[in-house]
Amino acid sequence: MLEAVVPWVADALVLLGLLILTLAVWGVLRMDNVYASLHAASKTTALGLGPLLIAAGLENGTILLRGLLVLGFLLLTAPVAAAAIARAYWRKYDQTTRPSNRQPEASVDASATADQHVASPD
Amino acid sequence: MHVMVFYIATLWLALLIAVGVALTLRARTILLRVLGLEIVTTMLVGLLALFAGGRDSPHYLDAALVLALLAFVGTLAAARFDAEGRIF
Repeated sequence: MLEAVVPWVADALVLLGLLILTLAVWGVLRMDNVYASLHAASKTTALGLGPLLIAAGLENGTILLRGLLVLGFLLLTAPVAAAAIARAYWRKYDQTTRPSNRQPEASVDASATADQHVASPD
Repeated sequence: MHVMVFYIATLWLALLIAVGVALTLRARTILLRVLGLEIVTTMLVGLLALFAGGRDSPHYLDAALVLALLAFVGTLAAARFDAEGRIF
């Protein structure tokens, strides 16, 4: 009984993962703001690959363990990579061109140099 | 999983990879290009997981793990280098 259900569960998980990954690509195509694109891309990475990796390992314990290893690694690294891209974009384009940041000139300079010192102790 | 679902999912993921490559090629800034490469890597890891399940072989997941690790390091290095002009 339970053996007969397993392939159908794997099918459902694969289709769910594909749906979430499609939503990720569609979100990146649709959003014209980089932060919104990152929002769409980074969250769906782990959420879409999780069902795919679990579906691959439903009939084989070795594949399941290795898939969970890959999934844990992705859960750890996907937010860090997205934060790195967002931080780089902010430092390159938004930090100095925003009017709200530019108004008090002296304090912006002070905070920028302080941030520089914190970011790069060399 | 069933064979038909395996084929359909493989074709669909290949289509998503093609869209990701087009997104990477048409990006306006370097950081958008890095984001496109991140998406392509995600889809490739999904494709390798699908093959591990469909072919019933765990060795595809080794390649998936290495790919995810290298993409993570590359994303960090490229983003830092683009924003600050140096990596470390």
